[in-house]
Amino acid sequence: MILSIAWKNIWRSKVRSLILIGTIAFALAGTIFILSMMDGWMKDRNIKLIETQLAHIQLHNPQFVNNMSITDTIADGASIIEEIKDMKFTQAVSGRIKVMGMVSSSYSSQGAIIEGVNSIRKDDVSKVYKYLSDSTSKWLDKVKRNNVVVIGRKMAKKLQLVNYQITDQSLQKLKDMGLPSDVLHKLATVKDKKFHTTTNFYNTLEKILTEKQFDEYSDLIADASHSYKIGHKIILRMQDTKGDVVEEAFRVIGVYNTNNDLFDGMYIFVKKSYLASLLGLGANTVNEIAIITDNQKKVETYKQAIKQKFPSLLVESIFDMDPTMRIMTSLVWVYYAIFEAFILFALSFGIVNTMLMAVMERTKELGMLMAIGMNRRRVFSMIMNESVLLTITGGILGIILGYLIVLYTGHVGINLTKYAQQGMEALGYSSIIYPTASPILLLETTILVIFTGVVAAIYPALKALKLKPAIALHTDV
Amino acid sequence: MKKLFLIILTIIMTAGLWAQDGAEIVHRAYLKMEGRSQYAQMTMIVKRPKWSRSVSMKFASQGTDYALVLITAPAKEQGQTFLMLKNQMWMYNPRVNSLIKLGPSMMSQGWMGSDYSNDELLNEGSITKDYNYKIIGNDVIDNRQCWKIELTPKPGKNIVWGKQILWIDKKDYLILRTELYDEDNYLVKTQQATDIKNMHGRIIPTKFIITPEDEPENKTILTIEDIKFDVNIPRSFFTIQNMRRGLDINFNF
Repeated sequence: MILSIAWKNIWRSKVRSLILIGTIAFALAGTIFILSMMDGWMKDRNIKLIETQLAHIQLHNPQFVNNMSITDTIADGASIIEEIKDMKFTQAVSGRIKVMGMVSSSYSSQGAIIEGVNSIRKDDVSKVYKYLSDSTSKWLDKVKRNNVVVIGRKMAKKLQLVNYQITDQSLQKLKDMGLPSDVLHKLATVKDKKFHTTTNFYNTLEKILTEKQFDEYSDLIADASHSYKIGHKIILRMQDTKGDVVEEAFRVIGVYNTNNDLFDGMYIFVKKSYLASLLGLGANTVNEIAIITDNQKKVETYKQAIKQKFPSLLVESIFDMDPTMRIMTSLVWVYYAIFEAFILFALSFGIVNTMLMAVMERTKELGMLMAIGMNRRRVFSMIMNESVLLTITGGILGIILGYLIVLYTGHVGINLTKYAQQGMEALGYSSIIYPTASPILLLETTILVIFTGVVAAIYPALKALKLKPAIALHTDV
Repeated sequence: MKKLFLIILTIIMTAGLWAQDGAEIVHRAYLKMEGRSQYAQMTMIVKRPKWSRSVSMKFASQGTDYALVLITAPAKEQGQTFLMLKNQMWMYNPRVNSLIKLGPSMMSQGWMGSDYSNDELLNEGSITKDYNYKIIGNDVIDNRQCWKIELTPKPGKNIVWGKQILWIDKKDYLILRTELYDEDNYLVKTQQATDIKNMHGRIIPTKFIITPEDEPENKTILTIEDIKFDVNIPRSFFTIQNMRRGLDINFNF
């Protein structure tokens, strides 16, 4: 009864109510979108981190983490891996060999972490093969020969293993990205010319573009017109178990791109068995065992189980290895709540204002209702209901709208490449964001919206209670 | 009669030349700058668009396996020593009294900020072994007749270059110019050798300039002030004890 009266009251002043509902809806949609964007961004980073580097749990020789010395291995790696395979939470487990070394091309030499992985991709925890940059790139399992290597995009750039050529296709691509036609015209002057080093290409760009254009667009242009020198020879150099330097020529068969400069510029992948033979390691020896479990939330429990089984090894969960991951997974709801609380706090002023107006302009009417015997509790709850209904309507619309935006952008992605590629990728974040709406976020939003509606109505409702029927009846509004 | 004599002379001369193949020429040229042992005093200037620095050093080596370098200038690095034994390298800094063994990750970085890499300093010997050699023509550099010899790496060798072209002086077997190419046969960098002088009985170039093709304003210039070959260096010279003596190391051979 009170509820339906409240609902009708809301629509007695359509414009005012609609404005408030609209305000709430848009504010919430925006909040949900922004939080989902951050969520998607972090998830993307976390998934990549798990897939390419950390997995869920890692085992090492306790000495290994100090200086990555190749002598600090897990000698009976093969049997440990078999035992872990039999543990019921294990989804995938694989042994790796990691060694610090040097990579040289004709142009430069770079420090690198050389990682030996299973050459059969389904056996491996590492999913770097998912990030191969283009169709000319192959993963290690597609090639029979042993001395092959897959390097990251940033490493390819550092070793000058990238060719550049501005073609019609790249011009079209840049046009679609919204580059000014002035820049495109300038680029057309060097169309079809081949540049075989990054330095040379950038020097040319610097010459034909203005300084501002160069700063803004050079990386985009480079990205649109590059191709990797697949098949080129690079020399890997590292210390073997005896402390001697071994060097070997490898062919680059693929380039991967995880949009993380730190990783792409450091990690290169070779076949484990071949790396072991170069280093003089036994066939069963590894220096890192990586495990993917069935549930990321329970890794701490699983970690303890593994620790008990192999007390001599250092067992680390993803949360030990990347503390930000812990914050993101366990504290993310607090973060959402704080963010939303601010938005809703600001909105509540609007609600208080509207409800106060509603009470004031209906002073006479409220006086009348009281005079004919509507008790104070009912008046109070009527005002409350009006406020909550108003807020919830706006809230639901906002959540639906926000969710739709998230669904759409999560499907097509938000491309920030044009604005901030370098900065974000240097930090390990992708510059294309796919927002994801988490259920926690939607639930939290709903609860907070109702809470706001209730709190914001208290003051106007109290105001209504203070009305004296006799005086209110004689008020002219 | 005179004509016949000329023809015979030409035949003999050219036959003499034909008899030498590329490998032999490169080997002889390599030996020119190589001795059982050597001592040298030199200055390296590293030029970059925005800065340049100069390092002076004394250097002694025995074969390809033993070498010791002492930095004599600038003052900041004075007394630092580098010791190479086989394919390992140590660095000693007298100021902080610290001895560091250079790991493989540090080996290939440019040595003292130059366009030389530590690795190039250690692996020079491969120029006489790991390539196929072909004389591809004649040329003149600084009024000297030169062979142009193309070096292509033998398959399976750990060489980053697609090819090298050497200009070797016909009279004194001096490598006057080296062009280093990548696998797509693009020029990567050029080394020029000039200022040919007689150093204690050997005629050799004393100034070497390395220019990367893409960044011609980045140069490394190495000037040899003094060099002696086949000097007697006791084995005890190439030890960690000796390298710790820093500026007090006795280079009088």
